[in-house]
Amino acid sequence: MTLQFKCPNCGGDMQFDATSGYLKCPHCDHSEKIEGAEMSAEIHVSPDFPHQDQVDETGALVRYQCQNCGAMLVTERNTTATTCSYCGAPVVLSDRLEGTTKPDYVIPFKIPKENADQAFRDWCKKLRYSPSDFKNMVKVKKVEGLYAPFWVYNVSGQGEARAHATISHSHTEGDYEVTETAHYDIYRSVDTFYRGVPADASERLADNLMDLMEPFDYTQMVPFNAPYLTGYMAENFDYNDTQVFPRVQKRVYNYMDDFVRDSIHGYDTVTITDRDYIANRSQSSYCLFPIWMNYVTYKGKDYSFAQNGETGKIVGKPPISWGAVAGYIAGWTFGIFILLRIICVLMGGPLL
Amino acid sequence: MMNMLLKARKRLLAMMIPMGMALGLILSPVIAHADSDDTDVYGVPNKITESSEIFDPDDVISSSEEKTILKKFKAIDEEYDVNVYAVITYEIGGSGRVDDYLEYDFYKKLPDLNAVVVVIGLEEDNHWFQLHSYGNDGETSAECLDTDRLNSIQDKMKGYLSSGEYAQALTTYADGISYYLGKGDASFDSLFFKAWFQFLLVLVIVSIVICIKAFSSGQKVTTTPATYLDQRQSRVLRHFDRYTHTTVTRTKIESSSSSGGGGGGGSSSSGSSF
Repeated sequence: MTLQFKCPNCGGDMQFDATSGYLKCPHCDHSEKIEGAEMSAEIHVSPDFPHQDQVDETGALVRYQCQNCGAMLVTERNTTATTCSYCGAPVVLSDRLEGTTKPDYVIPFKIPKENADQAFRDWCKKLRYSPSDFKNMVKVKKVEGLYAPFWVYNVSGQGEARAHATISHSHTEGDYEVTETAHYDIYRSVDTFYRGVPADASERLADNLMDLMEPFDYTQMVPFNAPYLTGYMAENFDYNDTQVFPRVQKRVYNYMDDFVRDSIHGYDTVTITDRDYIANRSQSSYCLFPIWMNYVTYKGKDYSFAQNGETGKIVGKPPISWGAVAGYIAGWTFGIFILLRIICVLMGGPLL
Repeated sequence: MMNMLLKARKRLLAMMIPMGMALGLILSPVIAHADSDDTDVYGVPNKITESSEIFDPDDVISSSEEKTILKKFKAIDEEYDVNVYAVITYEIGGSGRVDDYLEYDFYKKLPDLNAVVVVIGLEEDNHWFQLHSYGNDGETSAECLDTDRLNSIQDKMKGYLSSGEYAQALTTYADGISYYLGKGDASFDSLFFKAWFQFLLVLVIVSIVICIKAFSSGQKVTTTPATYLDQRQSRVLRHFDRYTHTTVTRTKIESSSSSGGGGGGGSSSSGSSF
């Protein structure tokens, strides 16, 4: 089943507008507030059309039909929102947003496409170690606004940790420097709570790239409503909250180490030697987070960059120019070397 | 009358000359004894007055050579205000004894502690030479002539001494001192002050830092463990900090100079047989 939001003025396909936070008609600029009862946009659903949605033989691709032009929409199994490749109409695949696959919350896009594109180009220009033709004339092959599936957890962590800490004092005795190091056995039993730890639930999106997107501003999070997806791509989760949680657990254990370390004061060195933690999720929510994906081809190689559609933070692995790297190494080396020699001369030493 | 007076004077002189000679012969051991009281067994005066000097009581080097070398010593003194001495003696009594002599006795004779000395011992079966620099912290000799540098001068002198070219050895000694005084503070001989080492070190560190930055470019982490921590619901339930024991480590303080004892100030030494 597909959903399309028609403009009550001109019948055009309305899309979510990141700037206003409303549904907006690109043809007549009519805006609609996204709040169920007040929304007057006409919602078209596909069962009105004669053709039934079809699943392919492998079950991997599913065919829907565009309500505007009648073209077949071939989607991947987890796609929940897309656009018709023929007429460009935004389509929400509502049957995939029901029951357990219905997101609890969504952070709507705050940065519109034009701004995201400009921000990406500006970001590229600031890349110090990338080739100048990449920095200044980056050719974006495709920009895709994507609602990525995330599980957001509230995690309670309890446990005990032992640490070895030292305090050292030095003094001189004749020709010897004597260092006395006092050793301490430290014990902490802690009860911690971590709120809103996110982890992406998509197989396609790289975990490390998505982790770098953080933090998301949860104050902008709203209960899920399908119109937020119109005009963007959206995916359903590949992994459920139980499958994703071990990754979050690992993060929380590291956070707990940090909490323990923060509670130990007044020592010169602190090393956690033993820990016994347990982290349980007290709540998990299925959320969709906005991400602009910039796909770039440079010298025959593909690069993808992700931009947080809410905060604007951009991450990715740009190409490296070894010439630029060598230039920076030479510049810094000579600069620091000259400084060292000046210090040496000021101390009464030779210039070279 | 005048003639009588002249004759009497001649007789008196004729009598006084043999008497004086006899007196001289009688007193000569006393005078000789007085000389040995003014110098030590190595022929070095108990109180050195000259700023640069070669003590060579047995004339191992010729007076013309001595003059030339002394000229070099004095030039060093004029340029760097460092007194330069050399002692050549057959009365060495072993390296240990020279060590003690240089460490505890020689500096007391010096008019100024900003000084350097070489003692060349020519015992029958034991040829030995030792370089020693004095001076308190901050003084040129202490700063510029450390053990390593004295070792280097010593290495250059050794060949000449082995072949009996003592004058050439002392010339090398003067040249070496002049060279190192010109180079300035010996602490700058440390590897960390060497230009090539600093360049290499900076190059390696900068390369590592830049490469890490280049490879992590575009991947800035902007969360911390505190980002998701709910402070109100997090606390330490139980804790203790228990002292277990204390360990003590003693590290010998590495220094290029050691105490010269008494008021001798810092000193550096380098010695070898040849």
